[in-house]
Amino acid sequence: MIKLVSGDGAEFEVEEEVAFQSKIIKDIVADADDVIPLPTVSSKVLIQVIEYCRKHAAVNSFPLSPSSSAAAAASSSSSISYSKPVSDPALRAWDNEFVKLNNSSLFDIVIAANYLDIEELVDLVLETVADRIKGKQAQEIRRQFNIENDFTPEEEEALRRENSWAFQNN
Amino acid sequence: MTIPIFVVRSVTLVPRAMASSNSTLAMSFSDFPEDVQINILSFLSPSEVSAFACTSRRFVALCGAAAPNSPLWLAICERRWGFRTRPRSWVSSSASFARLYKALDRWEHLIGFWRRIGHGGPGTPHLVFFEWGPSYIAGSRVSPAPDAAGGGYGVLKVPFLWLGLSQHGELVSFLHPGGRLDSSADLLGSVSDSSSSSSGVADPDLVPVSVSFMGCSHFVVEENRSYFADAREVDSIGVLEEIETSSPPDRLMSEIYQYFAIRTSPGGDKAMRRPRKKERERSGGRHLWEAEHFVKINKYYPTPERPLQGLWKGFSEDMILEFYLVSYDDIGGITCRRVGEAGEQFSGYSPVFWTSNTTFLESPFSSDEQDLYANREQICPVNADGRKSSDSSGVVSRILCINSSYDLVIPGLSASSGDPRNVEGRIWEYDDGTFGFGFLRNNYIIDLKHIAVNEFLLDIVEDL
Repeated sequence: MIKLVSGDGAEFEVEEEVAFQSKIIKDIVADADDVIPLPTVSSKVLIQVIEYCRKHAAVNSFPLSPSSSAAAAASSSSSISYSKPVSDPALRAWDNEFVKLNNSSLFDIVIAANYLDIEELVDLVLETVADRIKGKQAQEIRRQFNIENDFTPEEEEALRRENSWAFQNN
Repeated sequence: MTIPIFVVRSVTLVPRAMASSNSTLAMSFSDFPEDVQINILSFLSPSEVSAFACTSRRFVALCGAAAPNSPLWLAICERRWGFRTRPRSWVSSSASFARLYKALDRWEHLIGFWRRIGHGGPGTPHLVFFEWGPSYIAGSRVSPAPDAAGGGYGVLKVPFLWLGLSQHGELVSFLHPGGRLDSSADLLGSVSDSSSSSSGVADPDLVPVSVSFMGCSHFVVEENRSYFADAREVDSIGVLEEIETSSPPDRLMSEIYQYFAIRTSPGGDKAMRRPRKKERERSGGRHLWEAEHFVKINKYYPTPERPLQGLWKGFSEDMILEFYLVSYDDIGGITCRRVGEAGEQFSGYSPVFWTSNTTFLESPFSSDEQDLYANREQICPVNADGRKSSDSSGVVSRILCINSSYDLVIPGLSASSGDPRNVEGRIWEYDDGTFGFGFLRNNYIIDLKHIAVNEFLLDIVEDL
């Protein structure tokens, strides 16, 4: 068992296969002891992250049939590696429920997953954030994601015209 | 007292992330590290990236499509095509990944099988297969290999067309008209050299061409006779660029319109006219390549609903390896045609069988049906040692009656059509997903095998 300590001092005991979905924790455990302080992760977020890792550790312990080895070879030669999408439909449904959070809670998990380097969770939450950007105009995106509008009205108008031309591709 | 800046930063970041969980101070997208922002934005389409870019000054810079080596546009390309090719290898230092995106967004439609329509040179195969290379897309002519190469079912693959980006980020295409190379490495090697020297073509046999799409399932390869004249101009392939920028909803119609406008109208856009003028100036030169048209074979794999659909290969009754295309029509019929002999009717399509009834006979089969199958000889390739290779087909799982061949439609095409035994036959579907077919008029079974699986050709024979 590995003990994780959240930023607000709460302690969580988790199994190795659960905790080791975080590459950071795996690296720390390799050359230190089994109590791992995570000062930037609040207990609320850590509970959610552990819940995710438990679920995925349980499902992933049954190895799925390996997909196309050629695709795997191609991705390993790629400079940026993107993990394969989760293929188990039941787990995908569970993931979809998991990310039904407000933006603020989702952003907390983005930061935590990125810091803990949990590849599947990073992909899940980043794509969820992207989905919330899709189909929205700039003003709506600013409001939802707390982005400050630092343009003058003239600049904004000019930009809109310029971009609608430059990005006509799609 | 002085505090190092990085400490101040980490201190401010932590309470903020913590505070947001108490929903007092909401976190901003801007608080994410840049690699996280790029990772998120790489899921978006260009129009969505464009909308996002308009949110703030910082994101205009991050999303800029013009910047060379934009990390966001690299990430977008990696996410979409990174499993198949290496976007970083396509683009040299001065070109932009946004441009690569536009090129690949169009060119990825090439991947797969195409057949040539209209007349081609003598002996040129009708079937063309496009696949991803690390920094290019290559088109190969595909035909049954002669003799017993590749275990009898060998597929001869001769690369002849190559599409990539030049050093300046222009879309460039070359082809090798002879289609007879010692190996594909020669072609790709010489093309790579030419792209790095930006104007010259190392192999004198290579012809600069333009590949123009009309919709997603029809393209024309034409000699780009303005290539050398325009090699140092940015718009050396003005015609293609013009087509690239049209918007998707009416892409097809506007492309067809533009394509023919270039051909027929003396007026029109100046940028589009320019290559034609250069072409006229050079009209004294010899034509290295006649334009060829290709249409896509969209359905070359079986599906659960259409188990026989696709491209297949098998030995005909005269022991020659042939390619067959089985397609399902809109009214529920199945057509099997032979692909790839020069000079015959239907643009290289030779009809083999046709049926309008696609209801399979399921096991257990009647004794008549069992006899019909058992008394037949499966046509197998002969190995190098003179023995027939062992029968690798599985157990018959279902049977389909073929009640018609093209003999009915076009009398005299093969055998006489007077006897119904000439046109009646069976398809035996095996439990491994392949099938064989035969006619009552003889005692053969022509077993078919896949030509490609998962976008990979099987039994490739590359050397002549």
